[in-house]
Amino acid sequence: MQDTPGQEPDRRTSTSFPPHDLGGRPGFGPVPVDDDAIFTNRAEARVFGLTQMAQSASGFNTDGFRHGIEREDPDRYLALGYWGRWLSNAERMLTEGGVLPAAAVDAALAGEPVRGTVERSTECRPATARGARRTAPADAVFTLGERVRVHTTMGLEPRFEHCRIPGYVRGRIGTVEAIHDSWILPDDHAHGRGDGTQGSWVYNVSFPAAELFAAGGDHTLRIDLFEPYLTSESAA
Amino acid sequence: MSHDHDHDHDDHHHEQDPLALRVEALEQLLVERGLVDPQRVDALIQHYEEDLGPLNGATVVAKAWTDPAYRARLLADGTAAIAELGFGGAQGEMMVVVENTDDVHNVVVCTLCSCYPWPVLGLPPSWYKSPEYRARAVSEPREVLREFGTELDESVDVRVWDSSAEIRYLVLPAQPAGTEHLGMEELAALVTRDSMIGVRQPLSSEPEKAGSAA
Repeated sequence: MQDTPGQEPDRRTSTSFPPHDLGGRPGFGPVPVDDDAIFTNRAEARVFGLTQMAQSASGFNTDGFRHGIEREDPDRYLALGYWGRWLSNAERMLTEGGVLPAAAVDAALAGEPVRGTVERSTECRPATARGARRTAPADAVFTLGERVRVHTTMGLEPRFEHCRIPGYVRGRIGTVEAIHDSWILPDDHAHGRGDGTQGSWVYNVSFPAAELFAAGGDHTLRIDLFEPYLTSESAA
Repeated sequence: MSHDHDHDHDDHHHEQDPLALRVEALEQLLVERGLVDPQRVDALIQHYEEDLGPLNGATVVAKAWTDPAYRARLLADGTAAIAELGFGGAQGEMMVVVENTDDVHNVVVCTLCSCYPWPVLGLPPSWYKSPEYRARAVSEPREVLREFGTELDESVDVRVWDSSAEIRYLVLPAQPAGTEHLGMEELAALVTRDSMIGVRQPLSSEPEKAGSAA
């Protein structure tokens, strides 16, 4: 895979990125700066409270919750809006968590009885009090000031996984600015893996905007990236 | 952030709202199964609307403006310094505070979802969660800031923090000139939520501007 701008397809204009990966995507208009409220009506507040309870009742940790939102039908992701995606995810978690049969809410709205049981089908596990923070099994591989390259395809194939690499830095080279601490890799945690003592180091990495976006820019991006997302600049 | 405390009495206004119908139907299914107590949902919402909010972050900023030793601790270990004032918890387990200066302006976004430091700012405003902000804050931050009415000199280095892991960011805005004589409480009133996300400057001390961006 080439890193030279212009030699690989611009993922920002491609349909091959997950719908939630919005950073740098072209075509969006002005920010609705006056949409200032946390909830614009009481139904949205209800979605917030109820979805938290649904997550708990379904046994999903935070990464599994986020991955659920990412698995929204790409054609509906934007149209549903933020709280619409939360409610849709509440229903998804409840079904995958073995709590409610599929389409239970559709049945209820149609006035039909909601009966029957459903088997738990997710590998995600309930959140623990510790969250995802875990001791790493070894020292951090990369050092402050080191130049690192971000993985190009991890988490995209064979299907969209819960990978926390923003698309606009895939394949790009940045500089390690901070070494934070270690957490379970979200890609694993969302699927119920890595719940032992294994943490992955998280680095803050800087990237000049001029190297990321077609339109350039004189600003700097600062992004937190897990160690498995990175290789040394010199690595093939 | 005002909201309607009479919401229990105006449910009929939402009869045609598909989201309202759907969440009501889901709640009923969960209540029937003994999985949800509606009063606990009420309490959870109330906690996030009333106990958490940008006043917590504003208290942190005002303290940093008035106490150089605290400011140094805040920039060195945000989580610990914020905990000194009693703030912490979900979505604030590891806090990093980034300082705006004459030369550097920081802006925070989450392009992959809408990560936000709940213990110090409460829940995020709608615009923070909008696809427009998530898409454009990283690629054209100066234009986005201009939409908020924030003009930065070309010489200012803009840093955009994309909250892609479990670290949450709080911007420490520069203290407005001429406010050195003010006390903590008066200073905190100048520290708007938007200034701690980095899209606006804090209010100046002129009273006519108060509240314009809180």
